[in-house]
Amino acid sequence: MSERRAGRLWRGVAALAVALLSAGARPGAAADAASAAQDAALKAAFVYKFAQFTNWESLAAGAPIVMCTAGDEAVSAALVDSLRGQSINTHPIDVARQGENTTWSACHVLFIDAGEVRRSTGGLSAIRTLPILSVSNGKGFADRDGIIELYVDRGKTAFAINIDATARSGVRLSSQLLAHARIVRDRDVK
Amino acid sequence: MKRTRIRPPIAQLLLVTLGLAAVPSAALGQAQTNPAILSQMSIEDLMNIEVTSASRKEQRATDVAAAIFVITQDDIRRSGMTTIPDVLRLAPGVQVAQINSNKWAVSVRGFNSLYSNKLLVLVDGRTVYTRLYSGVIWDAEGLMLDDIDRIEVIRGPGAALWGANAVNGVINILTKSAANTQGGLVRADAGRSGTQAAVRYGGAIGSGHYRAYSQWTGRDESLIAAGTRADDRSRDLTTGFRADWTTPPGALLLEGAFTVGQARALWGNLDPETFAASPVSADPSESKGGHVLARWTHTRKSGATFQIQSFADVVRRQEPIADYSRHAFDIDSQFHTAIGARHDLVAGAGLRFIGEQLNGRVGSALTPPDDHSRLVTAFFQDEIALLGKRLAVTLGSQVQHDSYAGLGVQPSVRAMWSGFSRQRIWAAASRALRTPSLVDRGILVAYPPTPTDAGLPLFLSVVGNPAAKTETLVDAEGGYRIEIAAAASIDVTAFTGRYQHLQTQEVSAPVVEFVPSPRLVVATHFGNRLEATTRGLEISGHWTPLPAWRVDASYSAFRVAARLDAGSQDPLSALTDGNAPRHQWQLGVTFTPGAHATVHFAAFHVGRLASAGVDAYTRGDITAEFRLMGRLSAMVIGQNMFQAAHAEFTGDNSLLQGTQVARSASVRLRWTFR
Repeated sequence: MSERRAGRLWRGVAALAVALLSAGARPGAAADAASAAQDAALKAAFVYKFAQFTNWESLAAGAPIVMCTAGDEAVSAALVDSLRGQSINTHPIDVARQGENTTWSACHVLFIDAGEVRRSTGGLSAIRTLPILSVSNGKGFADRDGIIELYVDRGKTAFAINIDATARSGVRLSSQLLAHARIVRDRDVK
Repeated sequence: MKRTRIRPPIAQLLLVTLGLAAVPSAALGQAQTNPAILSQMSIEDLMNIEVTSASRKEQRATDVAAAIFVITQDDIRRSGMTTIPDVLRLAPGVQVAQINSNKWAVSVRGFNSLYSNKLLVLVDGRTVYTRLYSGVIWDAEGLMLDDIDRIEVIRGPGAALWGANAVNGVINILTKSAANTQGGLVRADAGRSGTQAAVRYGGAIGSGHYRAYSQWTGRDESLIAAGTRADDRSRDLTTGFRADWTTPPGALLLEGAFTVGQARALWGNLDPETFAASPVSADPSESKGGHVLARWTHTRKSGATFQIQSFADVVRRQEPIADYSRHAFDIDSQFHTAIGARHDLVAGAGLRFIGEQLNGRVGSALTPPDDHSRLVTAFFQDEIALLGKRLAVTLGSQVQHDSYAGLGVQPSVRAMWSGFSRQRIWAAASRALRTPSLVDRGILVAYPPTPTDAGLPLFLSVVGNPAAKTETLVDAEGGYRIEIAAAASIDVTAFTGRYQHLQTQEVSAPVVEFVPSPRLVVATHFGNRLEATTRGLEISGHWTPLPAWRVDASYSAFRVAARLDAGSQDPLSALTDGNAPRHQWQLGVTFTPGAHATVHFAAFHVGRLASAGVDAYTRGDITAEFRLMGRLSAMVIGQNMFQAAHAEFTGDNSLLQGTQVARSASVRLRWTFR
């Protein structure tokens, strides 16, 4: 390439730059979808981590750990994505798909989306004494029968664990998990 | 500083595309969408991911289009290597050749030399190349490998963002945050190639953390030929610290280190008046140097960040051919923000003062012997999301004013398409500049005499060119990456570059002189009369067929075609192969049978270096690490297993003699405590 051709190349680049800058200045609204997918992936990762630090006495060696979700299809999809073929100790992981007529009593882990918590308070109390690790991002979840509540603190994800609800359900949580949690008890409820 | 702010997103891109299982915690400043990778992180790391509005911007920043490879701490550890140049062998498309026991030639995409001059190397945002010859004195950086978080190797020009000297590559070494090196570490390596001992302790200091460390390295002799030692021992001691405070919305980093070293080397005859047999042993090189760096980062609620960084460094070296000293001061600022939903802008400016002095001994001199230069830089980069974020276009340019070379503009345009799931396609065009070094402008080297047929001895000298020109590169590259679930990934890059005004050595007509004794004198002057076109292909990938197994492989092809300007008197330079092999490949296999052992095998093949006359070789390394009890581990390391000794490079026109690297075995003990 001669100097002149190189010069033309850079003029071309400059023209492209101007074109793109003006195109880019038009308002767009595609960011939120990506942001939502990211949120779901992060929630799914937390759910998986929580399961790794949980012990179900009723779980036979080699039996699958069943993970269920209610309300947020994206979290369910992210769980399927990340946990395909994975296992925890000797237990393979099954992700119960949305829409299938899953009975919650068959679940070991249940993620309930914030919107769903508001709708199904009754259903929640039905599982409070079953060995199900319930997780939700619903506000106040851990104050009302739920075991783990995900919340955002200064831009980062944190979680609260209701140890009374944990005891009622019969699942056992590792101290490593408790060490990272804000611990709440039933009597904290106003 | 611009470098460090941009790094984490690029690292994430790699984590996503390569599906790396080990996620360096310092790379976790922002969130990402790959569930398979998120699920591998520790709960602490997950809790560190930003989920606020910042995530929108960072999400986009993961799609930076460049040929990049990340060497992680896990890679470094299982390689069994003890020096930075050796560790760089792990990256595809990087040429690493050991010259003697303590010197290396390192380059990316060719033009390799002990004095490689088109590469930018940064340690925690501090530029470590020397303006004397625009290269890196690798033995002056006694970095403790245990404390490196990762090394990002960017092949191709990075000048638009990184600035001066980022012509054919950028190597960005990032050490761990002090918060991630708490407690103590003691490591000792001993074996045929030398010994290394490192101690580090980290603790809390107010609301922050610190670490202090010291590392001693002793390198044993290489070989002249199998069985004959080369008298090129070296030793160095580095002592340093790093402290980090994070008090939202601000974060402060302070670090510093001091290195003293002594190195022997095999030299050619250094006395230009005698015919002494070559090679000869000379006095050792003595070096000392130190630096301090401070960086303040302020993050706004919107996610926008402002960063200001400054560093100062001092170097003093006494070499058999010259005494060299340098002091440099640099201040750099950077602002990064999202504008609307589509634009992600990074802009910054910097100022650097460098004072250097070279006093030649026998046979060499610099004119003028000291130099004070000033470099002013400014840059911007805008990443624009288009087509529903599937296409990201990045426009950027750096403008620099150098007190010698004047104004330089280094623009780049990059685009990445991520519309297909788990795949990325990118392309980039850039221009980069290599400004003349002090050596280019003012060196004089008088070589020792050579007998000739005419009866008169030939005295050859190399003379710098006060009017040396800036070398320019216009480069086009493109790549494709695919991630096959979390188990495998492939990354392919093709590039072509056009260099202009490359340095030549123009030979003047021989002159007969009679004083002090009859002789034929030939002077060669530096010119800028070479053009070259490079092209190449770089493929790398990893595969995890079973959880306990990991396979990493890469292949690089490189070609250079050079053309001389009419009138050039340096016909040899047109035949250069850039001191890079046409083909090089590597294969690494890691087997982790359980929590107590890791076995790693690696082979590195480097094709023949035709210009230098170095034969092809394959280096074979094997390491086995066993966790003995609690926090104590032992590693057995075998290096260069395939041959008793092999040459990797030559003295490369300098008076330094190339030697052979020997097969070696060593043992490493590593103990950590709280």
